[in-house]
Amino acid sequence: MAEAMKIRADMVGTLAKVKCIINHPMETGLRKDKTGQAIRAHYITHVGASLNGVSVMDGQVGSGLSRNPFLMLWIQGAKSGDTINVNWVDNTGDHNSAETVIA
Amino acid sequence: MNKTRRKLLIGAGAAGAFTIATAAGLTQSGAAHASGSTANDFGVNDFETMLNDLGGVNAQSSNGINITVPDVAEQGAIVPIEIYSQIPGSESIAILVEKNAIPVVARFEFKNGGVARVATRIKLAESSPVHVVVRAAGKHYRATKFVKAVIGGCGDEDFGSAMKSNSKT
Repeated sequence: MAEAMKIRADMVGTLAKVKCIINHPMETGLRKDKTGQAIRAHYITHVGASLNGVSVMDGQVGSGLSRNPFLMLWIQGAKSGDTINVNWVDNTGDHNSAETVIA
Repeated sequence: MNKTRRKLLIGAGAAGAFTIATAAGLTQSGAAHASGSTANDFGVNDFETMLNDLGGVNAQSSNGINITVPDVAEQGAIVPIEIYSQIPGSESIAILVEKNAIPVVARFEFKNGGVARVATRIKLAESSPVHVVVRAAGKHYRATKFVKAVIGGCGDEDFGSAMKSNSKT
């Protein structure tokens, strides 16, 4: 099971600003360990964000994102009290999501 | 299959298409994982082909795309980047690092009030131009910034220790 995510959303002017950190190794499959064995690829393939259940962002991502990916998004037409959800799926089928209410 | 899937994503961006793509992605990358091969959900690893597939080859260069990224990245593994497209009707942002083994880092689609602005952290294998391709109202725009990496962030076995020694200094 995936580790917990961190998510936070605030209103900045008329926009909602969402910050999110996903705990994930983001292994490219190119790195080798000390014995010369390739470390298996393990990275996030999709991230998505939704506002009150309506998708606002779909992202196809690859192993080029840093380990423990950080993501910051801005959403128009949101208001304090709305629910933001960020979810991801990785190449092993593992997935997780986190939800927060805009402060 | 991969190529079809990517075209599907680029062309449609519809919720339905995305679901199919996700399912396809899972089976494909699951196989890649099992065989221990270098996984890549964007299909090919060739930069020019990827740029072409994302519509970046004939894209107009634009000043409406703001890329905030350090000129010199001390750690190639963690390079903060923020992209803000001020082009009206911006629908998607794609990030490509030319010199990475897998050049496409991410492609984000925005809709229903999602602003075409994203901040994240990317890996740089070595000093490389970072290209951003934005699709706005069916047209493609492109902006590029060169980032110098002091320590590369991919494939380095001793990267962990390098990171520690670097943080002490």
